[in-house]
Amino acid sequence: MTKTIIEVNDLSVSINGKSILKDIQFKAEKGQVLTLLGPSGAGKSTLIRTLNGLQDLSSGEILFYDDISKGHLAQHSGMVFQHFNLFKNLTAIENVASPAWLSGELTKKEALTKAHVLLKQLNVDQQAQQYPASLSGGQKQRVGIARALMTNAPILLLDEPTSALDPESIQEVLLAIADIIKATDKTVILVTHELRFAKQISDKIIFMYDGQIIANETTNAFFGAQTNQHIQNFLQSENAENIRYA
Amino acid sequence: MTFDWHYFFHVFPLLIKALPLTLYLAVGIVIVSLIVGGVISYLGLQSFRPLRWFASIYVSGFRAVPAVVQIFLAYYGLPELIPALKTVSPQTIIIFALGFKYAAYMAETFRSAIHSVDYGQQEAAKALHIKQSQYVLRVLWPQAAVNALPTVGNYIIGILKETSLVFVIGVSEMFGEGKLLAGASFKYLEVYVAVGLIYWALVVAYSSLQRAVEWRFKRFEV
Repeated sequence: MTKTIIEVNDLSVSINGKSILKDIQFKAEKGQVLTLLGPSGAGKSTLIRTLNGLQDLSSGEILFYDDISKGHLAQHSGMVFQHFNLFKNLTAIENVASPAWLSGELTKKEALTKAHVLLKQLNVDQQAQQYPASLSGGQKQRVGIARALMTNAPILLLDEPTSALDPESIQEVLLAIADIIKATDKTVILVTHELRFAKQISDKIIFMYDGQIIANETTNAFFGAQTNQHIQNFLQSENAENIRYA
Repeated sequence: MTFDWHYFFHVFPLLIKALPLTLYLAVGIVIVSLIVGGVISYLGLQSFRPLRWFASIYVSGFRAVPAVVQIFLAYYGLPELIPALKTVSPQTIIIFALGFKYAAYMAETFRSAIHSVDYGQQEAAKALHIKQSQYVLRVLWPQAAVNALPTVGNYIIGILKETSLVFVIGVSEMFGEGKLLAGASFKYLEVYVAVGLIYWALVVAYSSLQRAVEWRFKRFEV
């Protein structure tokens, strides 16, 4: 039996008086992969940042069902950023260890041991002692994913993890994400423009337009016959973009 | 007019005798300016407005008033208000007068260095449940220190040279010693060239040290 782990009710966000998210509602089940799609400016990144507590919500609620808690999911999620946001003055392995080491959850030695396992899992253990500035984009993002996994949180949030990468690195990072999703039972919320990838790995697609959810359906239903004009336009333009880079 | 090379070389050891006082003053001023500057920049970053106003007024005031005026104010003016200061040595007065002045510059440098650390670093720390104190200690300050280092280095060079101002209240450090020697021998050119060269050597030595420190700190910026 599936179990709801996240419930978002009537969530609205305004920034400087401008309404960015309006009446967002959705549920995610344990172990589910949920992808947020939509054109630029639709509010996908704002939504994922709000879920993580990086953006204050104006109204509504976010529920996490393990220890019924209202608020954001920061304590229950690890996050992967579009621009990596690795700590520049820490080595790759220290970056991965940081969530456990700098939160006091583990000693530095214990955290580094665990970090090494994660780096190996993501095939960046050879770069463990390198600083982020000397890593390629793909390596940086794999370190970023390893760092998010270090939190041991049941939810993994990925905010456009490939949008700052070159075409070769995109494939490398998508494969790493797919492997992680297969290997864990984490609930994943992903923002991406990689339609083919979204189709392969998602259980559900949420389509956003102008700060609102206009479709929340299974992947097969979403990529089946679409009657909504916004979704049709989006799929056509994104498919054209993907073909260009394929 | 001929340049008296003999006197020129003769005067070096006499000037170098006063060098420890110059270095003592410079180190004292640097320490006071770094500590007070750190406190002022911390106050300037607080959300409580009166603290920010205090920091802003401090920086504005100490940067605007010339160093000599601050030295005279501290040495001649303040003891009238606080008689206990009359017993404080002029060296200590100088250290605090110039230390407080340079603290204003250091505070501005620290503030901008902290602001120049990418905001994404703080977001990552927040999103990954890292304690704020650990973020500040392990991520923010080390990165801000690298950003601040070149400017702080320039101020330290400025401090080293401004120690020469202490002669105005009768303290005979290296420049003051040179002034006495020049006055006694009338060989102004030889003495002041020698004084200038010693300052130059000090700055070159300090600059090499600074480059080594910067290189060590910047190892993560490939």
